[in-house]
Amino acid sequence: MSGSRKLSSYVLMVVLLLTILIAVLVRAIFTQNQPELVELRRRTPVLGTYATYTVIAQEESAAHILGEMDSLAGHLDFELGVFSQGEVSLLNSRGYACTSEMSIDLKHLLEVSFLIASVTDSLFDPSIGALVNVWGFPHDPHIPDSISIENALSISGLENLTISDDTIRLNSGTLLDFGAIAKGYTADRVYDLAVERGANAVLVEIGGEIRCGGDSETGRIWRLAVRNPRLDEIQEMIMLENGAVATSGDYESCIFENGCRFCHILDPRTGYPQTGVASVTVVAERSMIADALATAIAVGGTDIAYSVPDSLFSLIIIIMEDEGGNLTEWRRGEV
Amino acid sequence: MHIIGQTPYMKSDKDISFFRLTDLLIPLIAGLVLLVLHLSNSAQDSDGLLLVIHTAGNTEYLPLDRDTSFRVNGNMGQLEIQIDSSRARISESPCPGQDCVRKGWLTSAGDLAICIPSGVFICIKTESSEGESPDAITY
Repeated sequence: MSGSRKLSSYVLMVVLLLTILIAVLVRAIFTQNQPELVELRRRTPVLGTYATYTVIAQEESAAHILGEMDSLAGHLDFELGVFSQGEVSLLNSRGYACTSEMSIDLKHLLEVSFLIASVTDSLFDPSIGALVNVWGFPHDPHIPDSISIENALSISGLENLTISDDTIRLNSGTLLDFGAIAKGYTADRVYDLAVERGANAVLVEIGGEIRCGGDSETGRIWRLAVRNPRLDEIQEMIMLENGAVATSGDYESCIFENGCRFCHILDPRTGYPQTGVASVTVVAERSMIADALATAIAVGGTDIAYSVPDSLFSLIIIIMEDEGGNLTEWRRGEV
Repeated sequence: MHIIGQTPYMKSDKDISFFRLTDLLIPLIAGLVLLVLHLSNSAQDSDGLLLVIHTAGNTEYLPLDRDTSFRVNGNMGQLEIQIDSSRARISESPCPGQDCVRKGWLTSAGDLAICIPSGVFICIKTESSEGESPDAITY
């Protein structure tokens, strides 16, 4: 009786160990047959700033996807920039373009621009190219005289843009400048391309405008840091599985004169740089929306942040600065 | 009576049967399990080192635990960079001095090889652990 009990416990132990062995072997074989995923990163100059692309994809395709992302960003940089000889630059110099010849990218940018302008009381306005030129941003920033500002304001505003069935026409002197949305738009396009080409997870960051995401299998949660507008440190960390984050801050490309800060974010109502808002961070589904909203809210402050439809964003963080240099934080929504 | 050289438990046939050959099965299977576990884990381990490749205005990061060789563009033509057994080196360069090639294998974080005429340098850095550094900064 004791012998048979010993035998059965012996058999049980062998069966148990064999089961573990088979399970481990099956797992090892399954893992081996899984496509090998690698994470590659590339940092490269584009749109007058730096872009960082992070791709998690199969080993044999990851580098190729990065190359394609790079090419697309370069193409959009040329076509949408105002300093190249691309589509937007040509439209500005000619004053018109045939809609049939217009790229999908420009059409899409115009559509989104009109949408964001409509929900922000036109505080996001891509037709202030003349005003941007008067201030000399980004290459030669300086404080212009008030007459130049008034003249530039008189030809700014989307009402100076006429879209008919077959033509888009700018009033004389009106210039488009998509600087407040182009980085976000490019981040979206580059992200979509990478996913289309089979990437399992992607993060695109262009000059601080971020688009990220990934499939459930990869399960990557991206850690996105929001910069403190006054100190070279992280203000807070946003954890995002899929989505976009963009920030507009008064610390980037600004002029100091007589102790006053003149930042690159221009108020289309006055023609002067906005004051009182140190930075605005917007979390949304698309980077172009986050980018454009961040600019408009940097100009309009909490009033505009309150009025933006909540379907367009998930979180808005405004860091305001009073005349004494004290910072206060305001937020709407959550991630 | 005590028999010299013979231990007491070897006295009967029943005791000797405790050492049957089949008894080796358990440690054998246990050993196999451990071996397979070790191999399966080591295949997934990453040593946390990255190879950073700087070319003109471009920076790429590659994990150092995947053997590969590839070419990058420099000012004087293409350079070949090789990753092998968690080491990396510039294996070919069109530069006249060939100092970058002579530098040989980079093995530890902080090691770097520079090709000044090509405007290319590679270095090894430790991949920051998750939980410490962000994937990107919005500014």
